[in-house]
Amino acid sequence: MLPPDAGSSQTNWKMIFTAKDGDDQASALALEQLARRYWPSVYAFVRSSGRDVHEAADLTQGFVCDVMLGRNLFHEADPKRGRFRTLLLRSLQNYLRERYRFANRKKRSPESGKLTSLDDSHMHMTAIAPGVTPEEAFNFEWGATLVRGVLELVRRNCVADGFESHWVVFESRVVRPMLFGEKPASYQTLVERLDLDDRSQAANMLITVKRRFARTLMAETGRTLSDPARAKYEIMEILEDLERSS
Amino acid sequence: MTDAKREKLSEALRWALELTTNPAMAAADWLARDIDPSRTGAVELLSDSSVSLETLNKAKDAFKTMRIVGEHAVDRRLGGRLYLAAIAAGIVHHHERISAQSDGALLKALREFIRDDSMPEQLREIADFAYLSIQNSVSNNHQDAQDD
Repeated sequence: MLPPDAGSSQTNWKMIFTAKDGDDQASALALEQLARRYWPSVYAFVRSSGRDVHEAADLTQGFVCDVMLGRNLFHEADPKRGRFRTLLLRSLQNYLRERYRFANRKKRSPESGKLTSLDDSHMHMTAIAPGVTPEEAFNFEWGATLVRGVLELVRRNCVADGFESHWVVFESRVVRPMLFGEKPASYQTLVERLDLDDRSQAANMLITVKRRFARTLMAETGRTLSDPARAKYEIMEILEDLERSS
Repeated sequence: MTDAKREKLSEALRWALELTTNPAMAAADWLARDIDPSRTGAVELLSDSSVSLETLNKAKDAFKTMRIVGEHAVDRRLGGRLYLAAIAAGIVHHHERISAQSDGALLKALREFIRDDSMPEQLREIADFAYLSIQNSVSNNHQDAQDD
């Protein structure tokens, strides 16, 4: 299942600036979009730090409401001072320490608000494996969120361009195995289902969408940075984070 | 997070990086890995003598289609070259002709391939051997015809 903000192509920094400086309506919308975008990564971090599902969900919501929105974390964000993701992770670590310290003295204020529009199913998308550090879980979920968003954009573009069959090949061979661990559909099945000439046609259709995916991933990654030209290096860093944790 | 999930995610991220260096070759490498996931790419698949004739046939078909439906001219050109390289690999590694093209057409195409310095050295070498093999076979046939 794709997150509700999948395919949102608004620049991270643009959203952050809108959240900081936009009018009330635009700012609220940007805040909600940012909260949606980072929710899975925050949840993955909290869950991997040893909290059970309910506590992790509660702490995630607490962080989003109290820190991201309540203390307006975005006001501290500045592209010159590095990645927003780094600021977010540091703030989250501080928040969890703070919550741990005051756990027995104070319950999180219920009047901090509830983001009812956030889909709770997000929380269950992250299966936490033992031995995974919170940082690794955060990085993995950030990469996964990025990829899911790109997949949705590519799907929409394929449909708009009349490449539905191309998308079906890509979805059956790549997306479903990647997201749901399914076995890739055989080329023979796809040739019959889509009335294609042969395996080679199906394989080349898959490559066409893979290319679209790769280009869109590069462009979307660039949108999360103050300097889009650094997209390649950002992807390399996400890869390094993933490989370091393997 | 499982290792398999992490590997799939890493692979998807790597596609974007591969595309930045040489988009046409990236597409060819993806096609090659789709045929044989244990290979790093098209050059390895076509230059390794242990690759089966069946796999070379699949590669030939895939690159033939790339030659026709490739997104850009450079992709179609590379598809054509690799299609020929698969035929050459069949001749050199298995002594089998997996193409119905005439000797003349193959020799002409292989000559162009050998001269194309944008092609990887390993593939040009295979093209060179295939060229000599066809040429020898043509000469022998010609000799046989004369002897008859």
